[in-house]
Amino acid sequence: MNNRFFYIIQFVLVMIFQIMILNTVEVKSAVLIFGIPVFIPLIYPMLILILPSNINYFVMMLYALVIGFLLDYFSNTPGLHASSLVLLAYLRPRILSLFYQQDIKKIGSVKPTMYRLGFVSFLFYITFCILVHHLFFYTLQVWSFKNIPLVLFKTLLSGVITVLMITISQFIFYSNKSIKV
Amino acid sequence: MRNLIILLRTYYRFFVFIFIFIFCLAIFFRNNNYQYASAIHSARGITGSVHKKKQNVWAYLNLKKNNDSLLAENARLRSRLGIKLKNNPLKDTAFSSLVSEDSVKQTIYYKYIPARVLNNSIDQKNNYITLNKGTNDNIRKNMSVVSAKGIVGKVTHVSENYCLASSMLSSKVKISCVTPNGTIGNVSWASEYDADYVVLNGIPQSEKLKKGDTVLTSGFSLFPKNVMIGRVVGTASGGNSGMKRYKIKLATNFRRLNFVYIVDDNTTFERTIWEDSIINVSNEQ
Repeated sequence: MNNRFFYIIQFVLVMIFQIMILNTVEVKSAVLIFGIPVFIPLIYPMLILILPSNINYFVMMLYALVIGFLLDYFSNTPGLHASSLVLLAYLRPRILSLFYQQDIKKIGSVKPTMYRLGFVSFLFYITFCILVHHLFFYTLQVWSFKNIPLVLFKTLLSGVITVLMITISQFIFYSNKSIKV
Repeated sequence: MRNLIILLRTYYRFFVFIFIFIFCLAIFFRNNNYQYASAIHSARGITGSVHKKKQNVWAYLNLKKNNDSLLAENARLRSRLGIKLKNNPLKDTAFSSLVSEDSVKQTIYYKYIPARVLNNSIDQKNNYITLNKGTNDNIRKNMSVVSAKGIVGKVTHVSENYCLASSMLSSKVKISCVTPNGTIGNVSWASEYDADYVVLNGIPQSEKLKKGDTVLTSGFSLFPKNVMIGRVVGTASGGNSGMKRYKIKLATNFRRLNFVYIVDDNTTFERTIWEDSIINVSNEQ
């Protein structure tokens, strides 16, 4: 039960952070790199990435759908966040088994945190997931063959910031003592 | 039948995924279309009030900058029309501008309604701005929105307390404009990612525009006449043969948009409704 409470707190914190602060950063900061405005940093895929490995498939898909629609509702982009997050939720078990050497089904519940997976495996796992999510997200957002370099550019820059923020959040939400296997 | 059930049981994850995924994509592509733009979420009550709270905090952080720009604008406006108006403009929150004046009768064409920007985006294909005025303040669809420095966009959706304006940074918005020589052209957002520049179309080869020339609205579209759009910075590639394209730097900074004015213009409404009715009748015949 303690566990469920933890995920709810995390959901609320991350959503407030994304909607109230990150969604505004893009508009307010006049930072330009090569003349292209800097995109919105997206931290919310983290909510899906840190779910336990043996979570019910339908619960996870529904959770992704709810997060996606909430974000769409607040940023006037119906279906954009939702579809990319649902894609990520579907691919996550496969990507997780790629970067986690032991057989997940035998072990049971594994929280893919930095302390459980190890720093390097965790970083590869996060980077790969974020790459898939961002590439799909920005392709859908830009949606033209003319601007393929722009898509790659946005994916790369936004991805670096997202991976950095998720890694930092691991230090905030988990400490070395509170590992629950 | 048995095989079908086995197939479904083996690949049920994939089928569920495809079902939800296509559902999301269908919503996305249906609403992404400019004509069917029903993305009026931020004009609704709940999200509107959340954006309002967010904007309260951010506006506080930018307070000094906003005050300076408002003071400068007030000074400019008061020097321009403070003497001509009979009633004290400071008593009215919505002040009015005189366009044609008579010694006997003064006709008011434009009415400027100040509004605050609650939500703003610049990174989408079609960008929208949420404003804190709605039908309660007599805001209607297709009213134009201007800022202290230049044009912003036009109102597309209205609710009771909020309205949503499609900003100049939208792929389908085209605005009629006029160059210093009097040539009429149109301005649109061509780059789809650069929030500082728009492209001026439809200028004949014979006309040469210099760097720094101002481009103003012509008054043929919904915007009032002689509102600043931006300055020419150079030629742009592409376009039809025979017509030249110019790159224009916008006067309005869409990254720091806090206060705007919604223009209430009765004559334009009458004109556009009349024009539309004529076009519709001639199409039906």
